Amino acid sequence: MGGRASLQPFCDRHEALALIQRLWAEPETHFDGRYFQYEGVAVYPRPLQQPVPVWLASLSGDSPGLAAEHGYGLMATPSADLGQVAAQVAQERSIRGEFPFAIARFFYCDEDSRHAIERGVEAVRAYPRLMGVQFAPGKLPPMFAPDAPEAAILANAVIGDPAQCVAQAKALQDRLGSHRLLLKPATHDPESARTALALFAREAGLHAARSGNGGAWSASCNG
Amino acid sequence: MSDFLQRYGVFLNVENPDNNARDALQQTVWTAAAAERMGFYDAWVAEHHYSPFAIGMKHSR
Repeated sequence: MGGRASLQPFCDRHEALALIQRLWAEPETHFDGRYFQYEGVAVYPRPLQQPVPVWLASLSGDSPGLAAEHGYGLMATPSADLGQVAAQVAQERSIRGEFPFAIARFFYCDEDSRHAIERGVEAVRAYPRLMGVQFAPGKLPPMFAPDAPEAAILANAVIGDPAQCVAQAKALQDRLGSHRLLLKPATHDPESARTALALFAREAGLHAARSGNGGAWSASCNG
Repeated sequence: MSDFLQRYGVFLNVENPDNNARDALQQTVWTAAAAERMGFYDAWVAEHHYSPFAIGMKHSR
């Protein structure tokens, strides 16, 4: 096999995504694009999930158009400002109708509301420094501002006791309509993360159930 | 029209606070598996390039 990839920094995302999707789906790929040329290339391990869903973690620039053209989903990252996200989702739905949308939110849940808020807010404040995240001038999310008030963080997260967390999730449903809510544990301790998720799952009435095809798990939510 | 209004999933960084990549990866897998047992619909795992804290691809420090 052989191939060549252009080193141009702003190569066409359409072409890159088309190549990646074919690599995921085909046992051997021949690709003759403007920026990428490959002859008999394959990737391993092969993805079990087919087709592999594509989600673009951006709501700006050419992402909505690219997603609409190819049927990709759009995703808002944990730090994305909810007000902006809600406006962008509403605008996109007015153009495209229903589309796959996911939003990730920093998450911490504890039986003690005050403890949950202290731990969750502290973790969010530490996150940009630990991760070394950088934003273009003027693009810093409000929750990552050095002087971000607690209220600004909580308004863009799912943090609190179990009832508060589920209420915040329902509020997102009311505001954003159909979507996947992805909870990003705001803790580096894996045991605490799993405990917090379990508290939420119990309060939300989640339950795992075997589906009838191939033993895959599916989930549903009561209420 | 989607067949659901809201589905819950988990979004996981492979965070490595103890500088132990093997354990960080294993804990991430365990958390995803635990979330599935709890009834979460899907697990997303982030890959951060050039991150000093989370394990991603080879450019992670």
